[in-house]
Amino acid sequence: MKSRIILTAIWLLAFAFGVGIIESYLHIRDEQGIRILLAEDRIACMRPLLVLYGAYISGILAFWYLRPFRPSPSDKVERVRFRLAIACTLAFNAPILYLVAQWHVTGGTTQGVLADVRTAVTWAALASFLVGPVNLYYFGMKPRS
Amino acid sequence: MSHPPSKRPLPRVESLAKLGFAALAVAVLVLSSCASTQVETFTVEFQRPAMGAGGTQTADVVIIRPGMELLTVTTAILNALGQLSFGIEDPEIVPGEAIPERHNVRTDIVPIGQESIRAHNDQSQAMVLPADALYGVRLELSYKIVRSEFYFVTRSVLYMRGSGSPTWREYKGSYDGRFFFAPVRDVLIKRLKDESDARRDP
Repeated sequence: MKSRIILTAIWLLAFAFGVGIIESYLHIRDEQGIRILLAEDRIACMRPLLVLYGAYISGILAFWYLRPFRPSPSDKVERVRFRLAIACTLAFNAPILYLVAQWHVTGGTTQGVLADVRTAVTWAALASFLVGPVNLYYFGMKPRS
Repeated sequence: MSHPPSKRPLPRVESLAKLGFAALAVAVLVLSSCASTQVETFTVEFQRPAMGAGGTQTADVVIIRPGMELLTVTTAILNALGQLSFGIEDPEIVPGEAIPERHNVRTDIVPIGQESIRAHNDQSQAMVLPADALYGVRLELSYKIVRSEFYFVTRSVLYMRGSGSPTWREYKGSYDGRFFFAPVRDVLIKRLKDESDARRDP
């Protein structure tokens, strides 16, 4: 149970940070005093991230209520599995946040915030193998009796 | 004992028409007060070669041979917009073909420098543009020939964006559209005179 809570928290925090990074672009200004994003750009830039995290988090939350898979027979390597799950989840989410934050990281030399968000979503699509099995295992398995 | 349902009199057609007309008038007033400064009209007079005073033609007059009006004004429009870095989105330009009269020419969006924004704000202090955005302008222009005048109707549409924005968005506040069209008008008039000179002596 604890492992699921930690993994769920990582997902929710990554989502919140991603949205927060984009929201920050609406409130800070570059060296010339120009806003990075207008309020009208908010939804356009957040939509790809909402779709991405919406798919994962809705699955995770659904599995909190519905657990379709039988548990694994052994828990000998449970601690290793959990560490691996944390590592995979972080390896998946950290680059997403890094790519979304590119405007901050590079000082505004990218093709634009939406392009950065789309790059992040492309990364997520390519790296989904990192978290697919982990999520199925931790969120889809029935608890051992 | 039940009462029959009361029948309310239907509103008369004349009353509805008056109400509709009043609403239309209010809408027109509101809309015109919002966008009145974005449209500008101006005329450029031209003469025929044979109509020069005493047979001599001054350099300050646009002179166009009969039948060459559309090509001349088309060339002048294209040269003027090109000189100011505007591309044309509509209509599709075919070399050697004139833009028809009353056809709306729409340019792409060209960024405006911060100096121009400051100059606009100095000139139009009731319509100050916020300094924390980038601006661009799109021009729309059409012309018709009335007797011996080119009659131009122009409209400049202001767009804004942030430095990391994915796209331009139309600026909804008040601004002086004529300010942004003035350089185009000046260049267009000069180009018309140049075309006139170029076509005067074959």
